[in-house]
Amino acid sequence: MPDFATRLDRCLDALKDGRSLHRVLQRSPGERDELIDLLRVSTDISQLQLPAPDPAFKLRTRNLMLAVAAQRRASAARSRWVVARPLFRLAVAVGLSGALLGAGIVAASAQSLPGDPLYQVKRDIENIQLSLTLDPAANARLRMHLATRRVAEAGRLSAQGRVAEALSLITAFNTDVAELGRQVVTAPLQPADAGRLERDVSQGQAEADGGLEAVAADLTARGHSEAAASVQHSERQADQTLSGAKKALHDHGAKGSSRPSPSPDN
Amino acid sequence: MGALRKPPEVALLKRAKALEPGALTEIYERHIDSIYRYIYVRVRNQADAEDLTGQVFLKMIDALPGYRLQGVPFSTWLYRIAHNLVVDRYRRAGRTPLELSEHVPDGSSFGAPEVRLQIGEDRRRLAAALSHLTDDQRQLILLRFIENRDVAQIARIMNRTHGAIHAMQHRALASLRRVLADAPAVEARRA
Repeated sequence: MPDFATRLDRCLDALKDGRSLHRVLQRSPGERDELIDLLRVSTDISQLQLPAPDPAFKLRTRNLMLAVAAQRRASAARSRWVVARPLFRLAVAVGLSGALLGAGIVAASAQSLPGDPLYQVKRDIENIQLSLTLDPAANARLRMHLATRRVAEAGRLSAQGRVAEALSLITAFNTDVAELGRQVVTAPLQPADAGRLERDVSQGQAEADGGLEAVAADLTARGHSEAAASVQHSERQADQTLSGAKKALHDHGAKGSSRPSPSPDN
Repeated sequence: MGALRKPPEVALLKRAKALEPGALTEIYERHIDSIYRYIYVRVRNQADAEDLTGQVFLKMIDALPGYRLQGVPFSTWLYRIAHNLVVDRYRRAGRTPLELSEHVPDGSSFGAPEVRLQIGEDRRRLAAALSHLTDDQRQLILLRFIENRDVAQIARIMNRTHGAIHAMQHRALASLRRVLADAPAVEARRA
């Protein structure tokens, strides 16, 4: 005969499926009252209403998730291409960079913002730079630099009252930071590089924090309190990721030969 | 043995494994609320719950290409990611006091004001009673009675046997009954 806990579970299943409890209870007349008491408690619990996630949070997280997915798809496509044609790709990338440099477009695009004709050129050049920076520490350093550039751009857009575009860049910043967080945990860094990178990440974090606080203050002053809250949330999220990255780098640098380990079983 | 799934879900998951935005959005909308509640009940504050929920879906993006369609059901797999993240957070930060009762809504939106007030009070007492459970018991109660998961799914999420889940469920309900007996409002209304 099953034990009491199993009989209770059968009653709970019967209750959940809308079946009669009569037969189940009839089999254990001595336990009837206790079973009914526990079933009542379970019914009360099922009516509890727990807080639902904030709609702004849901939207923000969905956008971040989709941005990361887009980055993964692009990265996978790039990897396939690299495997297939490494020298050809390198030649094209270098040639393209050289041509752009020669034409002076790089300099002209440096100050561009989303919506400007040269902004996509600027982002393409950044992607090429990332692709060509093969050293893991240098690549992570560049990613941190580009992430803080997004914050600076968001600040300029916010000052122009282009709130939605500014928030979109903050999302791009968070995506870069999330990628950086993963990168420092998995990249094959030398302990000495880890120590230097930790300092650079700290510096980048301070710069990004300052920029994000300025954007939030500007948005608040303009009456966009929800957008400001969203920026502040992004700042907290980035701080948490970057603190984790710095700790991993610190541990890696301190341990010397051992590597920082990712979260278990995730 | 692979879990049975409806064909549309298999098709959706195949698209999601390719990181297709439409499929990811659909999966996100299906699971975000329940994953948030699952985490909220364990970390017990909005900021941490939001942070960890966001991380669950970013981890999902990383892990989806390797997800096996014939393996564990997708929702169980997703809960497992959430479970691991919460455990990891506990290891790093330690536990914080439970104040779940402060965040439980007041209850029914219909009926006379005094009835609404009483129902709200009962729910707060019940939510407060949950704080007397262990973290595992609270997790089980949420999955079983609020998210309506069956014992097999819960056993997989919590990495326990069916028998262990049955026993834990019994202990949790018995504890709640004892705590509620000391807070007689709910019982009094039943009488």
